[in-house]
Amino acid sequence: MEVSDVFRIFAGVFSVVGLGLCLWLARVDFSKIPAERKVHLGVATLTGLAFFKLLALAALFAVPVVALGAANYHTIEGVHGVESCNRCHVMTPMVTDMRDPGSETLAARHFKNGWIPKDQCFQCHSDYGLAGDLRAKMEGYRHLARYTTGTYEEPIKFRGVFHNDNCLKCHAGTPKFVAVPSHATVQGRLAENSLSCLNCHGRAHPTREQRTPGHPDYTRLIGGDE
Amino acid sequence: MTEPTPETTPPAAPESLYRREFLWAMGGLGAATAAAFAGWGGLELMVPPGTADEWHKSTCRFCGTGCTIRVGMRDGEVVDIRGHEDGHNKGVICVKGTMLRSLPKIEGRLTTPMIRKNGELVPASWDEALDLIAGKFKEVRDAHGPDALAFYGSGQLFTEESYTANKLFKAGLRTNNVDGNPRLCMASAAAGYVTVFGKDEPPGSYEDIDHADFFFIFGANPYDCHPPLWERVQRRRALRREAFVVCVDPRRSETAKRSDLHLPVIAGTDLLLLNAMAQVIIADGLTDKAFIDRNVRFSHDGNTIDLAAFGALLAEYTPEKVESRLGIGADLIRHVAHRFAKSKASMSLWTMGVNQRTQGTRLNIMLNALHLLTGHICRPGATPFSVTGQPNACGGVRDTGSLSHALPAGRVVANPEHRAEVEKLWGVESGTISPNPGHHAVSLFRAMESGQVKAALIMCTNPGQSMPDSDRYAAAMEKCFTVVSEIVADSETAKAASVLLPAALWVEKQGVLGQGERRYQLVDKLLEPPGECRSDLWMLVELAKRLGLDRLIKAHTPQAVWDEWRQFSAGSAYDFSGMSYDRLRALPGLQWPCPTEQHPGTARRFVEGSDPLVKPGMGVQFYGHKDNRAHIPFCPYVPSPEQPSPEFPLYLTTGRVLEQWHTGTMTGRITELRDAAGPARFTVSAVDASRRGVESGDMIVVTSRFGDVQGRAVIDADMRPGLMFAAFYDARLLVNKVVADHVDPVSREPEYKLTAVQFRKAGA
Amino acid sequence: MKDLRLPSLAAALGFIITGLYALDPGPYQMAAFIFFAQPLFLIALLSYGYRVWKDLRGRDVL
Repeated sequence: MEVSDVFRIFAGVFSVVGLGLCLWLARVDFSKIPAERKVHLGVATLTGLAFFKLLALAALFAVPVVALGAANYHTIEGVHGVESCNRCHVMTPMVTDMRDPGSETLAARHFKNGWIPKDQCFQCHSDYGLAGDLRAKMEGYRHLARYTTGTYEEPIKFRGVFHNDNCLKCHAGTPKFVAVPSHATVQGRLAENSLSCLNCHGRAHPTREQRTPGHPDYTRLIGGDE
Repeated sequence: MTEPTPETTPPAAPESLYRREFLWAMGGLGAATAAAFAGWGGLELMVPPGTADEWHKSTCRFCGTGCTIRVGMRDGEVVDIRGHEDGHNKGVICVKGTMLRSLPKIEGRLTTPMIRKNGELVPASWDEALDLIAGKFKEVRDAHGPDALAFYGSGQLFTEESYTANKLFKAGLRTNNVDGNPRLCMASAAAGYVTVFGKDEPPGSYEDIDHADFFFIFGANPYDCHPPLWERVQRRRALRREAFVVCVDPRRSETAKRSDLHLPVIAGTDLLLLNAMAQVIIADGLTDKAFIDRNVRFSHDGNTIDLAAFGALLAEYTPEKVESRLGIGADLIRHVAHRFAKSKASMSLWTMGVNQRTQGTRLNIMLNALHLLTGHICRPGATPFSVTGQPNACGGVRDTGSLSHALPAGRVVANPEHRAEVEKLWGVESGTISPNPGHHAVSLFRAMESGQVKAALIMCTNPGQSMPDSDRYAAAMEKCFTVVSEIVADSETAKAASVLLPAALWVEKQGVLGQGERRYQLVDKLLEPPGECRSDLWMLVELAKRLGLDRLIKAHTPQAVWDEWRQFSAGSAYDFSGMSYDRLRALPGLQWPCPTEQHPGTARRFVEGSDPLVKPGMGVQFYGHKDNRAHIPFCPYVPSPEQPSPEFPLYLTTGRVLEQWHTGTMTGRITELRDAAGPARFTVSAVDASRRGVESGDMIVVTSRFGDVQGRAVIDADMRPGLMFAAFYDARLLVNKVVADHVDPVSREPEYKLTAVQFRKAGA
Repeated sequence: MKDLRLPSLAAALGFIITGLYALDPGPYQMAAFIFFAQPLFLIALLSYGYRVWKDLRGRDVL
């Protein structure tokens, strides 16, 4: 079981508990709680009013904080998983292609050869996440808004600039990388991102053409998984 | 815990209080939603700054792979280059293409016409230069006849430019002295295809790489010279474990190192390998008899023979009989022949190691023959494929017939019917086109040397560095009135010019490039050329006006020339009349035949359903020959005239390196490429070096029967004794000074790949 | 302080959305969680806090 699953279960349990407490709380009239009512909680004994005040603190503050925290773990960290990306159907072609052993895209080659053991999407798009830069997080917000309101068109287009750092963090300095003389002479351009690794090393994902509804590959890419 | 008993009656609060609070809550929710939408709107406006403001589809102007690219522009400058994902190259380009952004801004651009006065090139106006050229050309023609004039073009000119020059010289000035760099590059491939299929250009496509199981890389080094194609081969291997790569090369090239099997044949003997493979294929019954019976004709000395007779002729080439001369064991030859024949789909890829040879045409014929014998042709992944070195040698020169023996769309000068057809299409009177083939490249420069050719126009190429025996031919250019259209003032060719014309390059002009798989792609003009640079087409049109030939050269814009040429091709086997500029602009190129504006282009030639020229019901039709059969003449092995001797005991072979292209006029001025390649050097074997007291890094003098050249030596542990190598991109190491200029008797392509040499430590 | 019906119901709705999101974190659930559940919890907390503040003021604690 993944860490994010633990957090999800945690968030789910707390949501159910919180929901129960809130529905209970909604029916309480504080002005009508008899002053003599006592509530025994193990070793402690409370007045009825104090108990319901504590209940309110739990239902409206403590439990929400825990549930929100746990659920937001997914918003921030759980989204690193491939399955999370695959839940938006516009991303399905990328995931289908990546898992296709017959595909020649960079994503598929990295996946097939096990070069990236987990969170394959995130590993090459690691501008996202807690340590990622804010702009990428905001792009994620924009994507979510676009997707859920249906204000997008297939094929989707990558609007930003893919950062070479995502490649270089693994490849830079390896013997194979160093053996190519031009890697040294274009190093500055790679660092400032004015020259893309993908030029020589090929496409990472299916083309926009393939991801356009009506293209012969579209049905396979969109339906080939799940 | 004691169960508390809550009040079960709903709390009774004043309704107004609830309503007010409810409205507050709804307002809060509304505000949160509004804030979310406002945030989204803000994000939509925050477009991340890309590397460029606008992107245009274009084509790389370096090698013959002809990659489709996207050119990123900002503030009127090219700032980024990306591979075009919808192109045939699937987004893959190489570092040279990536650095195209720096090409328009290279140092030392020639920006004004120059005329040689008292031995010095001095700036002049266009009118001055063009009037001088036209006057001189007329004077030479009147005094010495049209064959004292010549045009030497290039597979780097746009198609519209080569077509116009060819028409101007052959129908206007009436000389067939029209040749160019493609003679040095793929004339043997063209001769091979024409012999075998009756029509030039490969039957297959790059796409076949994605379907092949056996790669026969023969006299080619795609790792260095055609990186996107090598990358594609590598991807095929990664996807299909059965895929097997054989590299035939006397040198352990970067491609050979990465192949499954390297056959290091003794330089110059590889025709023995092809004949021995053919012998094994026929003797061991590996032929596709049904395919041969229907589609192939064999001949010997002009007489048609059958497969058995052809096999009998090959009895001289059994693996056992050739192994010692070839340097490859008989068992290995058999193994490769069997693998070639038995794979699901075999693809041969070859380039200059085959073409630049005195047996170039024969090697080309036999490479095609292996595919015909085994039926590895006209199927996905099964095809013979000659890869080219220049971006428009195919479309611009081979297809337009801009060679001394040729006329447009597969016609030849020597054929009176062909001449009559072309005269009619060009609207010139019968007898305009000379029946005499003009000078091929080497012959042309010799004619300049001997004074037969007195005035020449050289465009978009650098023969001063690229010709074999280059010192001799650089001197020949100086004897002649040589007009050079160039991008820099200090290329080896510019140095010999009488008049230097500043040329626009790549996206500074518009035109079509036709790469190695019959694909034509449009390059649109995106930049104004610097200074007074003009397109080569403009120069030709202006020259035609001054020569009084404007009635012949009526098309003055690239599109007008293209439409003329496109109409010209209609009905020929080169039919691309369906390729309008609009279609070429919208699509990442189209492959001919493409006879209508609805036709999607032809990936696989001679195949029914793909090639529109194949008659329905034929399946496969080699329509280039009247009998609809591919033709395989018997090609006996003839040794190269260039043989090692005690005086010149080593073989020198030349080639390219990954980061540099051709003579380096462009790539040598782009920092990232120049520094990655470093200066050119001789790579020599440890044995040969130690015998001569040479250590890695020493300067050596290399001598041949043709001259000598000095350069730095590097010992390469992989180099076999008796062989040495140098790339020809570096003007500081003009290796072609020592390279032999023997030519193939059919294609007239020089044998760059084989020169007997000696070397010694410099100063010793 | 008389009752906490409004904050309780707001939080209850928030818990339903959060629970659905935790159960299956799809894009719509994520949007609902981020854009509706979290503001609802905020409203619940503010409303609750307001009542507590008033309650405390009423008893002269503050």
